[in-house]
Amino acid sequence: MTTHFCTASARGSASDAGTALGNALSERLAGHDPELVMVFASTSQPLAGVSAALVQRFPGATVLGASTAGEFTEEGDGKQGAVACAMSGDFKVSAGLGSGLSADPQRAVEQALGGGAQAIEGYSHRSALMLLDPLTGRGEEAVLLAGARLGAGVPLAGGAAGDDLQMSATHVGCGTSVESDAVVLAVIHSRVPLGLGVSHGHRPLSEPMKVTRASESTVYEIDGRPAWAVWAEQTRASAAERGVDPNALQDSEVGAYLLRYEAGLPAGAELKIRAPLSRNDDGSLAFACAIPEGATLRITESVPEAQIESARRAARQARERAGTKLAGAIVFDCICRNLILGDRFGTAVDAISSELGGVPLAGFETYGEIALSAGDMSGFHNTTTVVFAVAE
Amino acid sequence: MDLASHLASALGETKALEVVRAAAAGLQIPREQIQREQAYEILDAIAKEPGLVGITASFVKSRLILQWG
Repeated sequence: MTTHFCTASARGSASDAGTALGNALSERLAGHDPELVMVFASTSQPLAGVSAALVQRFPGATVLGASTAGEFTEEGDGKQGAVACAMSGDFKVSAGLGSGLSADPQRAVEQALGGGAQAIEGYSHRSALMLLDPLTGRGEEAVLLAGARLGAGVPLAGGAAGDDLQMSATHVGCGTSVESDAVVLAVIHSRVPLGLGVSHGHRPLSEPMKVTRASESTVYEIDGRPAWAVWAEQTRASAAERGVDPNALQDSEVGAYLLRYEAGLPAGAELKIRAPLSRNDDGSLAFACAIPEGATLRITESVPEAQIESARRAARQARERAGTKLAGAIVFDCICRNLILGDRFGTAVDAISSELGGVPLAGFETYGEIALSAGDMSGFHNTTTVVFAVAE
Repeated sequence: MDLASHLASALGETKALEVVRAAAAGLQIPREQIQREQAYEILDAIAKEPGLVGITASFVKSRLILQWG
């Protein structure tokens, strides 16, 4: 049975956008009932309202959603809107939402998985999708817990929800349940493998420095000095080339500034990118996930050309791993890449689409990306493109 | 066996080395020649740490068991 994958985008109120998305997807599905619908909505269309409309429109489908910092399909990218994709075909989906991610990530992941991790006879391949609230600072823990539970043979892809750079509250949804401080997990049981690709385009800016005081996702001191002071000092010269002075930033501007200059934790020959999200009054920095005290980090920056090339690389990897003709793709791409690329973010989306053969794709700009394959020992990424390719 | 390298992706190299050394020393296991069962012991000890460190150790152990049997 052929897999059908289609996308749609909409604007307006939550209910209007949800209705418009439902109408467009239904038309493009041409009579096929979807097993899975995913919706990515800006803060202008509260997720609960959009999801409710889609659940009503597609009562037999699993509907998953996340709030965003930007949305895109193969037709273009934008802000303050909503996009959705629908998949129909010979596969089965089990999904759930787990609450209280910040207080007890293990319990939340178990609740989200329920009994859905078990294999289904006749469907020899399993893949998983994850959406989570990154403001909990529990991104890496949640991914590792899910990975341990699912096993090495189940690739895991996903993204951390956004809120248009407000850094106030993000939401994830499963069916009509939409919450903050939560994680959503879906297991897709299929007869053919789905393809996962991941890549980032960052380079080190500073020398290695030591995190001398940290607690969970807050870094207080680096080399014995307040974290923000170190960040401003190390990034000043690079920022000056763009006419920006970190010491003159308004509080509301710091979040976007930090997303351009992220931390890299050395892991072998690679750097594991970690995104600082906000500055606290005491000069500490809040990150998208835990940074262990004692870790060594380097401040990094990204060059636009490297961002576009890494997006292409992620798409190529996903296509090669799927190993067959594609029906579509779901893309999780970091908001900071949009900030770096500006008007050229659409070029990166086009590069992904071109590499995938022009199939429909839907995605959103995230506060963190999730990719865990067999052999990986870490699955939460920042400033990275993750492509989840669906075979036809 | 380089246990720290398995933990480094999530914790960074410095932290990974630190926790492996501390756990091995606590169990009186020489770091130079860690056998498979000793590696599991070390990871179990690290898994008792709170937060990301403990969860990472549990995850790494689960993956190594799948790799090594």
